[in-house]
Amino acid sequence: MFTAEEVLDLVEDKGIDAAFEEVDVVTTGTFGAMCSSGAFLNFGHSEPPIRMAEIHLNDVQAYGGLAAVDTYIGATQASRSRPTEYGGAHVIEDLVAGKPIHLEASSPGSDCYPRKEIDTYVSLETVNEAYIYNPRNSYQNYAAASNSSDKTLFTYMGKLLPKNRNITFSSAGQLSPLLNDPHCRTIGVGTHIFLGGGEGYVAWQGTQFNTSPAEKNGVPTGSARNLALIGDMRGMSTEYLRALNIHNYSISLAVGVGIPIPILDKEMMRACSIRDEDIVAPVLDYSVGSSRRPVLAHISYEQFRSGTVELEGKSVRTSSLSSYKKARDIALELKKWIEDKEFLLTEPVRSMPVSSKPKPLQISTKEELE
Amino acid sequence: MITTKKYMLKFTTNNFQEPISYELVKRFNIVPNIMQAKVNESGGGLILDLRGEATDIEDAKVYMEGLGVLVKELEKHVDRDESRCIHCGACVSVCPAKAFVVNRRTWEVEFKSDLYIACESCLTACSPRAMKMELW
Repeated sequence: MFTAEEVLDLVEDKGIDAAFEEVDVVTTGTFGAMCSSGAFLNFGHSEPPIRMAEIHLNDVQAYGGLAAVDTYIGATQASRSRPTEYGGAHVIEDLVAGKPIHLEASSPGSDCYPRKEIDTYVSLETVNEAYIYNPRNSYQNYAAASNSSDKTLFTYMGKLLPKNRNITFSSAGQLSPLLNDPHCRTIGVGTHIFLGGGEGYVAWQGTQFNTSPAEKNGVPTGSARNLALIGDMRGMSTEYLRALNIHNYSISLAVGVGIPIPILDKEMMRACSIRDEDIVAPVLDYSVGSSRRPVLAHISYEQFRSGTVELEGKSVRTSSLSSYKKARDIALELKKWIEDKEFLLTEPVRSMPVSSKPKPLQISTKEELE
Repeated sequence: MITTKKYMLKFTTNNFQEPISYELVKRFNIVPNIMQAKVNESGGGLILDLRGEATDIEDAKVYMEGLGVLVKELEKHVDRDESRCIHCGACVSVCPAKAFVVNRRTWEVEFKSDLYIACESCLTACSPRAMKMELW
């Protein structure tokens, strides 16, 4: 048992063949902002019962379009009263922390659900089911960001100083789950994982799953594959599920994900020996307000993590937006779970798509699509 | 003993014309290093380092307070909430004073409060809202 970081020394000392004989499982980890996250909750029925149509949790709107007392709360949903301060991610963090949550719901009322309003408190203990379901997590690599304009920009890639005075990046690099199994040979639907400090599973391919980015050293050089994840909120911890307020952008949720990779053959051993110096990401210019931003450079994670990189002949300081420290903690924690026989690896029940490329949204008329 | 401490000075409209930094140098043998200065309708303020003999700094405080200047030692007003910090590093590249340093062994982000210049740049970079500051 090794983490994806620990195994690097072993491979360097002994080579792939000898390391393969020694290593059964490599554990990976990542901890960063993952906006496409949220939780399903079931409140149970009140007396008299209500079919909740408009739902607020601590003043944050939750989805009212499911059955009577089911809801989904999305991480980026802002609260009505403090939209930049508190949102869905905070509700999720507060639930995991065991705090009471104010539930307000209303309904037109019906013969079978006569109650029209409810105002009460719930907690992780009082609700029936509470599980995280995140449609797009754990990106395999991600483009870094800079800003060539004259003013500071606040983006989902953080605070970008004018005239390319800093670069932000967000990947656990050599510790990242999908960079250690770049073609999803072992990670598929049903893979048992560490999620938010508790246990979860890979539910499906993530949205905008993309196998098309160019590869270098066997891994994609940009935002590529990602995973939809599911897991019980009970057992999760605020250490690994943390609300974020991304200034002048949105509320988001930092999610901790760890995936064990069984070393089935020498090819998997080679894949899990990927190093930050071998993983490259493009630096995009966020001053261009388009989904097609110009690429300023391609830079390795070893360079990003060194604190300064060369960009257009200038030395530029870098900031990681995801936590390498927490990624390492997650890989170590998952390794311990497996060693202590508290966590079993599973074989996927369905493979990830071999070929998939997300489509842009075209502005179309009804007739064009008929 | 020579020490360096960070202070915030708050002025009112009655005392904001006083040549404070000149007096600090001339009378108290203190090296002031001004990091921020502002003037507004209710007076204004300075954020500065004072380097000098501890006894001289104490005397200078008495002098400034005698003029009605509010003298606050700054460190107590700048804090990182360790329970919120996730050690991502978003603060590192936006800090002109390089007060945030990544420890490359532990990968923790260390906050060097002695380098801190109260520019507040980290506040809008820190998405877990770990950096807390109450200045003006």
